[in-house]
Amino acid sequence: MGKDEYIIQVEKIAKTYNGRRVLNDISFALRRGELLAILGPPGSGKTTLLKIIAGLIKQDAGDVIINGRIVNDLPPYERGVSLVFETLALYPNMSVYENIASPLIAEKKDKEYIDRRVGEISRLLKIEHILGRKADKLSGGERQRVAIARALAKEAEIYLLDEPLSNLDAKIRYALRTEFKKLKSLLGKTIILATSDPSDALALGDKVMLLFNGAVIQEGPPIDIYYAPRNISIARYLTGNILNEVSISIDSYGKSVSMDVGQEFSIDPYFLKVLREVGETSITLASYADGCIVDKSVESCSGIKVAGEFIGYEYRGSEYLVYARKGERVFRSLRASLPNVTFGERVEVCIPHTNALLFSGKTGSLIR
Amino acid sequence: MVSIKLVDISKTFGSVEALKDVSLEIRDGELFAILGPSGCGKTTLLRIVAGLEKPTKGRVYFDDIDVTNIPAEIRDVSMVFQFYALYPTTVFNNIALPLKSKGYSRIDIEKRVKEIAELVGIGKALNLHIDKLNIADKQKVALARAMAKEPQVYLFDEPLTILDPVTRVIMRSELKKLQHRLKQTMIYVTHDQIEALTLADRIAVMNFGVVEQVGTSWDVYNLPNTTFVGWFLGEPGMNFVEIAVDKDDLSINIGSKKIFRDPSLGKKLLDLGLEKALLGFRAENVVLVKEVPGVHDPNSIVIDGIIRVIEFFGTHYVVNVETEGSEFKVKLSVSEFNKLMLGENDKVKALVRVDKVCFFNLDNNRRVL
Amino acid sequence: MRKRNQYTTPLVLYRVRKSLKFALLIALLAIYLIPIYGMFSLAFKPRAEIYSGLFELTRVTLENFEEAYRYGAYSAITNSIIVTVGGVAIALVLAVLASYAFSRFAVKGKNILMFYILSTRMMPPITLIIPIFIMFFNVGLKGTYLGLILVYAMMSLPLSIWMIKSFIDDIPKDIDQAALVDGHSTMFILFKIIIPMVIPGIAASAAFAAIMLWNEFLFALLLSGVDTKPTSVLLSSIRGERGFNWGRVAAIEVVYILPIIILVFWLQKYMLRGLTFGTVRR
Repeated sequence: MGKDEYIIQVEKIAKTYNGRRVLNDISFALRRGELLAILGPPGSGKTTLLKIIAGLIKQDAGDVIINGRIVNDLPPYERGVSLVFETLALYPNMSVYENIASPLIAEKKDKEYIDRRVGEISRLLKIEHILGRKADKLSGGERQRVAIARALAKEAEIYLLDEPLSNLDAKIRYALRTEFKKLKSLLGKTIILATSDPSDALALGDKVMLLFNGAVIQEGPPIDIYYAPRNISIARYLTGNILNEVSISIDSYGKSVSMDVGQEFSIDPYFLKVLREVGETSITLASYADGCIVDKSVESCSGIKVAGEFIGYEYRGSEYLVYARKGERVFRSLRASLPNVTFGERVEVCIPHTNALLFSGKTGSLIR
Repeated sequence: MVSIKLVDISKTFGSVEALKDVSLEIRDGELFAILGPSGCGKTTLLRIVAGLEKPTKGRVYFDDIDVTNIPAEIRDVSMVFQFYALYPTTVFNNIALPLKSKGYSRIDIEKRVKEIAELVGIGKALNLHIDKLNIADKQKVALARAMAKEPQVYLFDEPLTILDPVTRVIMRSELKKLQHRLKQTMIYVTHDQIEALTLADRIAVMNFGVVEQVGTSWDVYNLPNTTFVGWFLGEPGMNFVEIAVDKDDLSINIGSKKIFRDPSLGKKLLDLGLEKALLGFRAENVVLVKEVPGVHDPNSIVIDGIIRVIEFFGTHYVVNVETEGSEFKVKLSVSEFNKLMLGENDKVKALVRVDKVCFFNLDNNRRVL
Repeated sequence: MRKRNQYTTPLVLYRVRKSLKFALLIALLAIYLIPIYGMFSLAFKPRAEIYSGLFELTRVTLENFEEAYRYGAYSAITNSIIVTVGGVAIALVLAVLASYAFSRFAVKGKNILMFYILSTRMMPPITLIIPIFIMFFNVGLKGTYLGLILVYAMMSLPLSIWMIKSFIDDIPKDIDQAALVDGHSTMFILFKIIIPMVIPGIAASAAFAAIMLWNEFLFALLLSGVDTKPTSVLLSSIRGERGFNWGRVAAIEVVYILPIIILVFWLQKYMLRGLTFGTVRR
């Protein structure tokens, strides 16, 4: 097999459960050593897709091709895949050693080989000291490591990981994420990772595939997904549904402009020209928290400026996340210090045009 | 209005030591947060203040009165839980109940309930059944009922965890406003560092049944007493790198690399009797450069290393730099990162201003400088 | 400023309320425990003092137990053990296999079958007595241990299947699937992974079945023979020449009741969980 060929291709996979379409013509292809992060909210079909690739669920239509071979009819253990379950699915009555050795025992490997391999992998994942412990006597982080170790023990072409970092304490999650990324470049394995946390996908993925309601809505490198989300629902999802948004209506002659945040707003003349040239009557302007300024007053704003009310903040030690509200719209701004206002007081919100994402008000798709 | 004093509180459950000699003083009218990872004993401590749990050892004082053996029912505290425990009736009845059992007249009850409901912002919902309320308003009813008890102390056990992020931010502001008005002593238990940092006048950071540090948000974040506090607060947590002081020129070194030539710091460490220590600094206080300008900067520690992992988080990048076998994280804004054009395995130099670093004793993980 | 003694009055009231509640609980407990105390007291009393009242116990003696031994009570206890253990063992083996299949495989008409299994427990056992008696009489199973064991296994099966199934249902299917990905066979999964995980469930259903069979009277009365008579049957026919020999009855009861008490204390944690039939699922 040449280096440039795909190690796995998934072609037009479809699955229906009780009349509900959970996967809709999913296709993607991956080269050896790549990490694909499948990002989507719970229930978007991520687990089903991984289990179809693993051979635990049968698809209604479409092919799974691994190493150039269609594996639709092969049982799980003949497909050359290994899977880390979202629930981890450790064997609780067995020791950590027995858990990791499980796929090797099933392959009828000799004792010496198993010993060596379990030793190698447990060293890699820093769990040598708990090999003798029973799997139900582990902490959350340890269980996660054991599950990954068991999957790695099997010599597979592709490793599938279903929410490998969920159910963990934020601190451990953070540390494990970095470690995982290091491990990935160390081993050079092909990995498909499903997650509902945008941070996981952006930080870990070579490619990110967004799966909403069983359909792929965007695929690409993390930076493209973040700075050019194909539609507004992606941008919202990436921010945990707290995207800074303003709806702008421009009449067909491009003369009068109104917004859903009341009368008190101003637009930089150059930016207004840009908006008019778009040629849409309704535009949603959005920005992330680091691309928005909230202050008592913003002197010069190169984009749009809106008046709002200071409703609260989060102090994160390194920075403040300031919240302002106008009507239904909530704006967040990352700042080094708090604005000099009290709760409920008037503030100005500015989204500079360089940070603004423009979406069509009708279809929600990205304009610029 | 009351100050609370906990003296040498210990609590064991079977063979598990949940609290070990915890002593705290909570000032009158203060919003005091207890922060720590799950299982650190913070909820047990709160339950001991409430009287729901008896300490195995130690005393609890409200002002100067020893209340250790006073049962919860008559201790005169109000507790608000993560999951509001409301009665399936109207908002009014829920708030009125503690007043009824205190023997208020009907007219007084009506007046008080209205007052309190206005205060927490549910004045318009008094006659609604609680099933008709959203989660935030239900939690407000729980708060109002706690207030109706007119307690000496308010105890909160992660009351905002189940709310959506925006409502949580608003409720935090409301709670802060309320505290300024009521001037009541409040203890707030949470595992969420942002909540504690944002809300509290002072924070106690706990781990494994021990109070690691008590201080203001700024103190605990910037001057952690222990490596645990430094690691636990912040995302990412504080970086720790082992350093050694060169006895000849008093420079500071990581392995064989000199990172700080000025003898001032090295002298201080040696005066404390430490030839080795842990250097601690925050990821956002690091400036990364590819080439250090030739001039020698006496105010910065300079560490050179190799980039191992780059993580993109949307609003920022976190870069992991390896030096002499240890690793640290650097947090960079997207524009900074793009300006540097960094890639994995690039050689970089990390600059940290001396006033932004801490030193910890390697033996007990306590801060010395 | 509050008074220093603000807690004094409420504390007194609190203590009074608490003592009253405690007294009430003690009274209720006594009502339940006195008969059991009476049984033990009778069993250890000398025969001469049988009618001296429940609480008077001047001398502890084992003469009632010797009397019970001479009466053949211990062979009855042995019989009880044989038929109970036999019945439970057969029921468990079948129940584990059946409940794994019901829990994991796509069995046609699964729900109907499960209900049918339970429904066999709903009809009054007495309706089955006559056909079973005639059948057993004809094939020569009447009066044998095997006959009673078979009936007992049948009686315990429904509850055992339901209970063990509820425990297996609680094991995430991901665990079976993980084993499939590892490459293990179904038999390996059942015996090496699933069964070790449902040991508590098996223990619970064993305990419930054992209690039911240990106490069973109706089938025992009709199907046991002179040598295979279990304790429940013996107790019913224990009239002495001149009325009941209370001391002897109490002594047999004490021996009869002890295994159950031990069993329940030993397995109570699992039995409580078993009673919920997995309704406490997260």
